Amino acid sequence: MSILSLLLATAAFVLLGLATDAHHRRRFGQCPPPSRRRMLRTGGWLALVASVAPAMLARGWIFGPILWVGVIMAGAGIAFLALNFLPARGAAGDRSCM
Amino acid sequence: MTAGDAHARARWARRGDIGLRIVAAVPLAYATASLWAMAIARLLPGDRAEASVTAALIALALCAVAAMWAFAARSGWRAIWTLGVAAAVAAAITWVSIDVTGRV
Amino acid sequence: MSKGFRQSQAFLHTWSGLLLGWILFLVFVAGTIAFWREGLNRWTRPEIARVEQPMRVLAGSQAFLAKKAPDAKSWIIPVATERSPGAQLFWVPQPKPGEERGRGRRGGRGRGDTQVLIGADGQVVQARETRGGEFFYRFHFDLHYMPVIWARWLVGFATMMMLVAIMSGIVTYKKIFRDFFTLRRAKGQRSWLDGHNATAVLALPFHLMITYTGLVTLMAMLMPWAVVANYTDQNIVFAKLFPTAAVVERTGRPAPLIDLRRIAADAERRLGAPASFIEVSDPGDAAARVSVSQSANSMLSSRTPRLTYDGVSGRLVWRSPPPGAAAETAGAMIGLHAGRFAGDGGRWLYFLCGIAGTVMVASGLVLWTVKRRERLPDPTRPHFGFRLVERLNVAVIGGFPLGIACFFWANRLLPVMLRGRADWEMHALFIAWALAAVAAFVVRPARVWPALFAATGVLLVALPVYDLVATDRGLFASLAIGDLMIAGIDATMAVFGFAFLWLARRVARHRPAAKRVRKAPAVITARVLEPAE
Repeated sequence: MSILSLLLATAAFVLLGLATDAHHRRRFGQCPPPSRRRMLRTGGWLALVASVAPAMLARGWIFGPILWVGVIMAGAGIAFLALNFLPARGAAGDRSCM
Repeated sequence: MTAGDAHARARWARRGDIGLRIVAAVPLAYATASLWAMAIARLLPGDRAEASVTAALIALALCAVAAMWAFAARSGWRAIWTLGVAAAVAAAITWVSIDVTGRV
Repeated sequence: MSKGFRQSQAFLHTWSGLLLGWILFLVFVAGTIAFWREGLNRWTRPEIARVEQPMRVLAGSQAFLAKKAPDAKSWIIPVATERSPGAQLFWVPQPKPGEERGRGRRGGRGRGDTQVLIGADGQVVQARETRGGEFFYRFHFDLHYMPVIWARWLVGFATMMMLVAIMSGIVTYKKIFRDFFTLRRAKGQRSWLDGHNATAVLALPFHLMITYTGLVTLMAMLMPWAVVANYTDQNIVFAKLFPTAAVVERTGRPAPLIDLRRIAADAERRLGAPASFIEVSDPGDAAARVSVSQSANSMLSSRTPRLTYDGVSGRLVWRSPPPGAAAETAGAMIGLHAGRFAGDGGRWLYFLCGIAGTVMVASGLVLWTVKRRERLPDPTRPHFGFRLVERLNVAVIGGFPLGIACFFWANRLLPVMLRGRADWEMHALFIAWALAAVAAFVVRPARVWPALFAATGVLLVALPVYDLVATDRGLFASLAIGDLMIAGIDATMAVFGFAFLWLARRVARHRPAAKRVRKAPAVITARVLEPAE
């Protein structure tokens, strides 16, 4: 259950991170079109919300929220490392996507 | 007055303003938070020890917020007098309350 | 959010973070290490065996105290666990007639002649004298070489500034959710900013929690006014919040003290959780009382239930009342700060978040100089404030870790029979740090940074090697007996050592970007980027 919560949280942050200009360009080589950005963001937030329940199920009403906060920090950290340090093919460039 | 003098005057005015904000953010914020700790401890109903603990927990956060206000206020003087008024109100509440019901 | 407000908070963030940032760095480093305090208590005493039977330690403790201090006023016996080096016993002798009956609670630091460590076999431990992990725990709020009240006020003040820095940082950082994940590498000021932001935002819940709860642990000292408003006598509220059984007068009639193992077993059964502390008052007397406290590892709040037994018959005479909601909340906050409830995974998360916090503070301090260096009118003659901050950065961020590495080496190398050995381990830390600080102020930073990091790295990497060759607690030996804590500490030291060596190489190789030629030399356009940019 805790692992499930962690996986959902990590997925959430990966999706949210991919919705940003810099990382989308890095992974997919182009600026994120608005529909894709919306999809990634919605998916990200859904996954984040979904990660609450397994944490509460794993540890109850008192330690559940504590576990969840720990899980989202860990998930955000893993996503951050993956997004920034896994090699990608896109040449980022510094031009804005607007 | 030369341009240089005006420049120097502006610099000192800014330093004075920051100085006032520091007075507001450090001793005055702590004093205001402490006085509100007392006022909240008096005003909260129920067990006195519980009220005191609750008030202290709140006051710690209030102190930080007051320090933020000291720099967010439009001017240093404004920061000082607004926090001063807040402190005075808390002091009044505390004084009256202790006068009326006393302490354990 | 108006620009003026954000700018004011950006200014506040910079200065509330900078002015006592060096104290905060010390607190974060020591506090983060202190999450492993029990493990370090064992690691610093490689002679002792792991505790396998806590009850054996308890029996040995009682036997020792019955022989050594049979007429003491009270005995304090921690219940050993497999994580602790044993039981660090304290006892309080009977006050001599006419002597002031002061409150015995002195924060656990008894005099040298009224404390002893009982080991896994129930006998007095023959191990090197050291403060071990307790040093780091104490240091992060008591500091050192100063009266604890001053230290706690200083740390408390710095903590409040930290809370202000965090909150003003949140307000200032307008891209907090949009550019959450950005990390621009090798771009000077912007890279430092991204690193500072990343370590700050990724562990933001932790940083907020640890800072505010840190204030709560010092609340009685920092904000006593709420109590003063309601009580004329502080002792009344103290008794309310930390209740104990009624004090019984010593009768003077001797009576044998019951076997404490029976009481411990009964208490653990009633509490449904392990016990951590046993306090015996007036042992050997007919009025003896035994109080057992539940372990803080088994629940969130640090204020654990207590049971008091008759010391002769073993009958339960008192049970602590459940605390009120506010007291429970404060206890939970202290429990969150200490993180004792956390299992192994949780403890690692706390440790990683603490490291993130340390990096956040350090990168913030360095960011201040990096930002301003790019705008100095004459980089070869910076103004006094800049030079001071830069040198303090080197002295503290470079010097303190070196001091800690020397502390561990002193623990290994100082002669076991040296008098005041524990104090000399700590002196070693501060002597090494002082030397590093002198170097930081005398030699160019570009030289001292890599030198300090490299020295720290070498010392840390060499520690597990020493353990391998000179003790029987090397990494492989520990793994073989399944002692993951000791093995983990050795491994972590090696990892940190390599990290410091890598850091030293990065810093030594750093070539500052070529200075851009100024087109309009007269106008000082010192536009320092605000934190949010």
